[in-house]
Amino acid sequence: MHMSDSLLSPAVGGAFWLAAGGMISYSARKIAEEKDASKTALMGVAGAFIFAAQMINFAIPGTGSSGHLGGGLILAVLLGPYRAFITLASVLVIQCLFFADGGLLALGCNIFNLAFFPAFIAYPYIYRTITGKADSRTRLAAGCMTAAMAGLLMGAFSVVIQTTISGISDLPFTTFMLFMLPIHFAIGIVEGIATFFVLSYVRQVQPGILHIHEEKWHPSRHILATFAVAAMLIGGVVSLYASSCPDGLEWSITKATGKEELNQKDGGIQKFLGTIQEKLAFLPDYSFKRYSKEESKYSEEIGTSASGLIGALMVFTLAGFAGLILRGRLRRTQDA
Amino acid sequence: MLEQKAQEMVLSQKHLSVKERYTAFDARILIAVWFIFVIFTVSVPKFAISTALAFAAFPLFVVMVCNLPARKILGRMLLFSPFILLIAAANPFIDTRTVCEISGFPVSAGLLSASVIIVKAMVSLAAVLTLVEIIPFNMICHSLSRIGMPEVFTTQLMLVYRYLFLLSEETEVLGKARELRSFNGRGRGMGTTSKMIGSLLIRSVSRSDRIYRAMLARGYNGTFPMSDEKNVGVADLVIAIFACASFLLVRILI
Repeated sequence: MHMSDSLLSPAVGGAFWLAAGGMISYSARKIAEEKDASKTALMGVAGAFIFAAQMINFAIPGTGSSGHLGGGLILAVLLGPYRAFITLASVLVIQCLFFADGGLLALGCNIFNLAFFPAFIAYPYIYRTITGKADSRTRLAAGCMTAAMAGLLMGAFSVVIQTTISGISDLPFTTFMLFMLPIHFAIGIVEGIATFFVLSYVRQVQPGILHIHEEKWHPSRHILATFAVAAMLIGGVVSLYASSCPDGLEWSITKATGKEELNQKDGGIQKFLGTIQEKLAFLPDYSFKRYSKEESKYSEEIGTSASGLIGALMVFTLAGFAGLILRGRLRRTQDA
Repeated sequence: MLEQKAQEMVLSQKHLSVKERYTAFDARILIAVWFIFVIFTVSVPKFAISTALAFAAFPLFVVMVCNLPARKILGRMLLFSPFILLIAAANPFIDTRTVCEISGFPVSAGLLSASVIIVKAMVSLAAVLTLVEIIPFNMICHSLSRIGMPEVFTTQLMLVYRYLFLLSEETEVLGKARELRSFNGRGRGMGTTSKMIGSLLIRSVSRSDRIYRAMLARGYNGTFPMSDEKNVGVADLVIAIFACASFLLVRILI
C-alpha cells in the first residue's frame, strides 16, 4: 500500500511531508518529555523486528496464497503511540531509501497512511477501548481484529484521497475506493488474526512485555485532530488550487513574467533557444495525425511531447557521456 | 523477496568500507538537490513523456560520474511496486481518446499518461537509489539531524539500520528451521508462524535490554556523538545552483 511519487502532485506530496514532519517533531518532543532513554534501544530493535517479521511468510488458509505481518499495531501495543509512530516512520524511511518502496516525496504520505493511523488512531481509540484493562483473550482478539482492520482501511482510504486529489490517475474516486477498500478489508482480517496470535503467544509466555509501555497516553485530541484535518485540508485545498494553475513551476513563471508559458516569449534567450531548437530539430512532426477540433488541444499537448522525445533522448545521452568524461577526469585527478 | 533485499543490504554494508564514496560535498546539499529533483520530476505534466524521460538523465549522469553499479540499480528499479502498475494500467481503459498515431498505431491519451506514471516512478526510484549509493546512511542521518530533524528520530534510524542486519540473519535461521520441520505445507500456517514471530519479539526485547546496558557501559547519555561537522562551501553551492538550473531548463525546454 506504499504510495508512489509518480501518483502524487507536488502540492499533495509537499502538504503531507509537512504534516508528517510536524507529527515526527511532536512525537519526538513528547518522547523527550518522558526523559526515559532506556527505551531508545528497544525502539531501534523493535523497528528491526518489524523488518524481520515481514520476512516470515505464512500460508493463508483457504486461499492458497501467503502473506506476512504488517506489525504497526504490535509496535503500538509494545511502545505506545509516540514511540510506535517514530519507529514506524523510521521503518518507512529505510524502506523508501533501500527497498525502493514509495519515493522521497511520497514519504510524507506513506508516514501518514501507514504510521499515523495505527499509532494515533487504531491503537489508542480502538484497540485500547475494546481490550480495556481486563485481561481477557476474547477482548484481545476483538481489539486486534478491529484495530488492525480499521488502521488498514483508514490508510487505504487515505491513499485513495491522495491519489484522487493529485489528479495523476484517471481512476474515478468511487471506482478506486471500491477497488481498494475490499482488498484492504481482507488484508486487515489477516493482519488482525496474525497480530492476535502473536500478542496472545507473548501474553502467555512473557506477559510483562505487553506492559512495557506504561499508561502515559494523554491524548492531545485537539493537536492530533488538527494534524489530520490540516493535512487533508492543505492537500485538498492546495491541490484544487494547483489544478486550476497546472503546477507550481508554471505558476511562478506566470507570476514572474506575466505570461502563461515562458516559451511564448518573443525575444531574448527563449527566442534564441527556440531558433536553435528549430534548426536542430530533425524529424519534425514525425508521423503525427491531427484529429478533430475537440481533440486538438490534446494533440497539441501530445505533439509537444513527441517532438520533445528526441530532445529527451539527446539530454539522456549527453548526460551519460558527460558523466563518463567527468569520471575519467576525476580518476586522473585522484591518480595525480 | 524481502529476504533477498535484506541479503543485498548485508552485502552492500560489507562492501561499504572498500566502496568508493563521494562524500566530498556536504550531504545536506546533496539531499536537498535530490529532493528538488524529485519535486521537478513529480511536477512533470500528465502527458509530457519526453520531459519525464529527459529527467532520467540525472540519475544516469550520477551513475556515470560516481561509477555506481548500474545493473544493481536497474534491477531494483524494475522491482517497483505492482500497485503503481495497477493504477497506471487503469488509465488506458478510462481515457481511450486517440491523440496521435505512431507508424499507424493509434496511441490513446490514457496509454500516454500511464507511461508517464511509470517513467516518473522509475526515475524517482533511480534518484533515491543513487542517493543512498553515494552517501553512507550514517551521514544521511547526521545531515537530517543538522537540517533540524529531531535527534530521537535520527538515532532511531541509525539503530534500526544497525539491528536490521542482525535480526534478518536470525530470521533466516528461524525460517530454515521451520522449513526443515514442515511437511506438505503443515507447520507453515498462521498458528505456528505467529508463535515464531512471538518468540522473535520476546528475543528482540531481551536483546534490546542487553544493547541498552552495553550502550550505558560505553557512556551513552541520550545522544550519539557525531563526526566532525562540515560546513557548506562554495563548491556545494555551485553544484546545487547548477543542478537546480539544469532541472529548471529541462522542465521548461523539453
